[in-house]
Amino acid sequence: MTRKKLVTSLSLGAVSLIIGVLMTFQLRANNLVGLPYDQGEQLTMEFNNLTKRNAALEADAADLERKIRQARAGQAGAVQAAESELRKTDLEAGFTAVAGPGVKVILNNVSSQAVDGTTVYIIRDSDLLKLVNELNAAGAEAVSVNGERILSTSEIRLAGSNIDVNLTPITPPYEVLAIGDSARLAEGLQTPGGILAFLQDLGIGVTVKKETRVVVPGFKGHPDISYAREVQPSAGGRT
Amino acid sequence: MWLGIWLVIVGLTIGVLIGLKLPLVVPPAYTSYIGVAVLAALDSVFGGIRAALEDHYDNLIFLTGFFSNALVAAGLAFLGGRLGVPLYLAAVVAFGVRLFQNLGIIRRLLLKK
Repeated sequence: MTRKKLVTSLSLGAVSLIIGVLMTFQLRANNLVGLPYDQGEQLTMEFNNLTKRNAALEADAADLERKIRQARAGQAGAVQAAESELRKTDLEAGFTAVAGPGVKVILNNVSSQAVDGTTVYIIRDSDLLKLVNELNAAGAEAVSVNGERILSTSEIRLAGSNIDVNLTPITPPYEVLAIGDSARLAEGLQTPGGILAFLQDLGIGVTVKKETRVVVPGFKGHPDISYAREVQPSAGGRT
Repeated sequence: MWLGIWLVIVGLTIGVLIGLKLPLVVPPAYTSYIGVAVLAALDSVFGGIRAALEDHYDNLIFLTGFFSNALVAAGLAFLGGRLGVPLYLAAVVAFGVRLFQNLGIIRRLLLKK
C-alpha cells in the first residue's frame, strides 16, 4: 500500500486523462469535420440566434423588395412622364409629323404660254413668307412648304434661282400645308387685298383646298442651338 | 485499489471535458494516427488492469508501455501513410487482438474472485 500504491493510482489517473483527451479529440474530429463539436446546448443557442437573425433578415429583405418595387414604379412613372413631356415638346416644336384638318394651298407660276412678250411675275420668297404669315395669323398649328416644316427658326428666302426653306431649295409648284381650323384658315387666306388675292391678280395659279386631313411632316434637320442659353429665372431673366 | 479506480474514472472524465472544451480540432489528415494511438493506449490500460488483477502490476512497465505503444502505433501509421502501405492496420489488428485477450482474462479473473 502507501506510497507505491499512490504513485500507481496517480499514474493511472494521468494515463486515463490522456486517453480521455485523445478519445474526445478523435471523436470530435470524426464526428464533425470543420465545425467544432460542442454541446447541444450551445448549438441550440446558436440555432435560435440564427433563426432570429434569419427572421430579421427576411423582414429586411421584404422591406427592401417593397422599396425596390416602389422605386421601380416611381421610376417607370417618371420615365413615362419625361417621355410624354418629350413627345409633347417635340410636337410643339415641330419635330414630329402631325396630321389633322387644315388647308392645302398650291401656288403655281404663270405658264410661259399664257403670256406673250410681257414680263412674267414669278412667285417670290416674300410671297411665300406672307402666305405662311397669313396662315399663322389664322391659327395654323403646323405649316409646311413643299414638305419642309416651318419652325420658329425656319427661313424662306431666295437663294440663287430657287427659294430655300430650311436651307433646302424648293421648286414650284409650291404646296403649302397648314393644320388648323380649315374654315378659319381658308377665310383668312381669302381676305380681300390679302396675299392670295394679290397673287391671283398677277395671274398666279392659286388653289386653296379645305382638307379633313392633311399630314404635315416633321422637321428633318437638327436644331442648332449654339449660342442661346437658358436663363435662370432667379437671375432676373423675366422682366 | 479503489483509489486507483476512482482516479481512473476522474481522470477519464476530466480528460473528456478537456477534450471537449479545447478549441483545437485535429486536422482530418491526422485522425488515423490518433485513432491508432488511442487504441494502443487502451490496450496498455487493459493490460495494466489485467496485471493488477494478477498481482504483478509494475507501474514503470505500465507507463513506458502506455507511451511507447501509443507513440509507436502512431508512428507506424504515419510510416504506413508515407510508404503507401496501410501499416496502421497492423497496429489495429495487433492491439485489437490483445485488447480482447486482455478483456477476456480480466473477465475471467473477476469472475473467479
